Amino acid sequence: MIWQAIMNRPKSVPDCIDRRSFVRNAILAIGVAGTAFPGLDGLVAASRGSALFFDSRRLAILDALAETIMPRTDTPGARDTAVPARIDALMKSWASPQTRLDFARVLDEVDAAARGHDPRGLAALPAARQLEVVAAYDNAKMRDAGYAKFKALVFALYYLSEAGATQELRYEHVPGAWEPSITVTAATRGWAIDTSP
Amino acid sequence: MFDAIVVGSGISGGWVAKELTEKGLKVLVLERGRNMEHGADYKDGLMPWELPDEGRIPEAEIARDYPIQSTLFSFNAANKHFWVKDSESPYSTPEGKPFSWYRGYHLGGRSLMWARMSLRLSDLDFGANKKDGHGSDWPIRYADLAPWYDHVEAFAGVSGSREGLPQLPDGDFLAAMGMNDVEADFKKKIEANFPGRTVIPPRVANLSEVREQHTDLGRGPCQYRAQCGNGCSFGAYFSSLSATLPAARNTGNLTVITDAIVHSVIHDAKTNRVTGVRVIDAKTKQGRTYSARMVFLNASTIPTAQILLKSKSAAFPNGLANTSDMVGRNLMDHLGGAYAMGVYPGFEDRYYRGRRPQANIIPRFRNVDSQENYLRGFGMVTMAFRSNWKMASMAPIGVGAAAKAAMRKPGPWMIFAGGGAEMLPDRDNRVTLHSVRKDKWGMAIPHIECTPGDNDRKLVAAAQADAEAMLGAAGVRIIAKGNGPNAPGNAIHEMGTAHMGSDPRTSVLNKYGQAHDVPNLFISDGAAMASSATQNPSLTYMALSARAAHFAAEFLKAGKI
Repeated sequence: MIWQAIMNRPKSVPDCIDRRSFVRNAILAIGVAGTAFPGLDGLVAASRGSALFFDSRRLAILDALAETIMPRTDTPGARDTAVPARIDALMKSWASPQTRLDFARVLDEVDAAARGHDPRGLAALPAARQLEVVAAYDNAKMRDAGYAKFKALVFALYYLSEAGATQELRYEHVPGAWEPSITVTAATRGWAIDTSP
Repeated sequence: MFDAIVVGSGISGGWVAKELTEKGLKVLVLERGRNMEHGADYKDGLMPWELPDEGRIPEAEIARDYPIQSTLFSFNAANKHFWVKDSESPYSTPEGKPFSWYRGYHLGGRSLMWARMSLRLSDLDFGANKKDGHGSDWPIRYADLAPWYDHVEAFAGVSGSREGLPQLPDGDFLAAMGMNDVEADFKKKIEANFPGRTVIPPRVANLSEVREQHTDLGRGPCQYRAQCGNGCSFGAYFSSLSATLPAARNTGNLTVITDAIVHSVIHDAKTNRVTGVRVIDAKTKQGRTYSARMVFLNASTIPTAQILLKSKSAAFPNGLANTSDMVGRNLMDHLGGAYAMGVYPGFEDRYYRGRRPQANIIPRFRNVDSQENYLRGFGMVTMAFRSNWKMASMAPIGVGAAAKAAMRKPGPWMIFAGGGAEMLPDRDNRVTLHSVRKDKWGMAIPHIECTPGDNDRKLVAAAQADAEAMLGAAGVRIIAKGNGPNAPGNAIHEMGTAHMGSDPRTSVLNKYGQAHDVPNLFISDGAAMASSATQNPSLTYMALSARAAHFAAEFLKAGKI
């Protein structure tokens, strides 16, 4: 459904650009640099109907950063729910110039931190090392408005995706009843949408 | 020629239309905004992951078109079409005196977006102006309005509990929506620690059960979705679209014209009667007129004053029905920004299912049986909930699998308590017409000057202290506090610009909502309020509207107007 909505939006790039090949070329460029880029399918699928916003270098960082923040565990993660691709699409459909700058800066800063371990940056690090770098960045940047907005967007896109809301958490669009007192068990998961502000 | 023209299709105009058409009168409802179809124009059925742009409105569009409307927590992609574009709907305020004005221009008006809290005023409120000398004495008391509260509550459907509180009279409520375990615990602690205070379930115009008058109109019970802000295709909350306008249509006596901006009311000096209204077509900007035997202004507080001030004639050089010079004056709201929120200890094994559509109430407890060093009072709401990822995204939850695992579980219990303070009527808080600036239809824009007074500020400070004290007494670790008062207008309870009173020299409307100056002109929206009280006001607008319509029809039948 999300993709439908994106594709229904008026095209902002000339039709002469073959978006799919543009993306594939971008991916290949990263491949040449020797960086694993497991978000390939999601990004290619998501780009149908529009060109990508971030360049291939930042897309690779975005992909690694989002998945590190919200990894696949026994349920899907950020990559499985196309969070990186959806953030990229929102850069054009939603983000203000300031937000675009902030998010690009966040990606660059995280990557700069990663280059202390590997000159190829975050996307090239093993998952454990990615977590180490991102956790340190997260801890240091909690009061950075740009990063806080980025992280909140990763959370929102993940937990309000179909998999995030219904597999990782619970969601009922039409509860049909108000049951004010329920016992929590070991299996109880939180509600993806609450009445909370 | 209609029997009556009703200007505005919101919560009060819908009631006037229903009552008059059910009495056999031919009624024309004029709505300045576009048509809105109940159900078809709501996006309440979309799953969160189906919302366009992930439910986000482009930041540049918000900055350009919705800088004020977007500050509401409920503003989102699923209901953007309910709100005016600020860029197209200008008003002015003096430097350093902000006023926030939230509006929707469409059939049904703000009855689609209201928070549905439905509270009766009491004689503590109706007697307040007389007691302390601020504003005009209300020309009615609770006994005058009680049967009309009964009448509108039965039709609208209000869920609540009977409490026997003199300051917040009971009605014939639909089943109450219960408290969760933390709220019940908080109630116990408040009652034990603060004699005279209590916590009661919401009184909310959502159908916790349906009665015949509701099913007759195709309305269904509340599904506890918390989709109210996006419209409700079940018709489970009361609105002009779910209830009053369909009822009025069923009589065959209703005509509705949308995209019709009322420019002014036409007055015949010879007979001292209004004869109709001048309208600007919102789409073509063409002018036209409609005639009727009487006119009801239900355009909402600020536009109703705007229309009266615009309706100048030799007989009324300062605006129609304005010999008192009170039109536009005494603008009031409820002042917010007094609240506390924090982490409630314990209850880790308790949870809930469903999304209750309103918070609990802490009924007014100040200046009920005693006198503080300030006048009037404030009402409060409170609710407890378990935090989830949304709150965690603002907390040091970290990243990775550990953070994900932590957010899978219901988070810590949070509780909120906050208040809305009564504003004293003040003749200098007023709406005038801007001397130069006009909107795109050539109408002088409203100039709104409204600032909290000393007593108003004291009330907000007292509400802030009380909110913190009550949470503190319940062992809550407070993590967020208010810094009120918010700008007036923020509570979206603007009222008072053509208030009721007994004296034609100092008030605009009499006890029937009839203009002192012009017998066949009636006003029963928020403009009619002589004081703001502490209660959410919509239910009172409904009761005043039904009552005014009753008397107007009687007067018309008796040939008095």
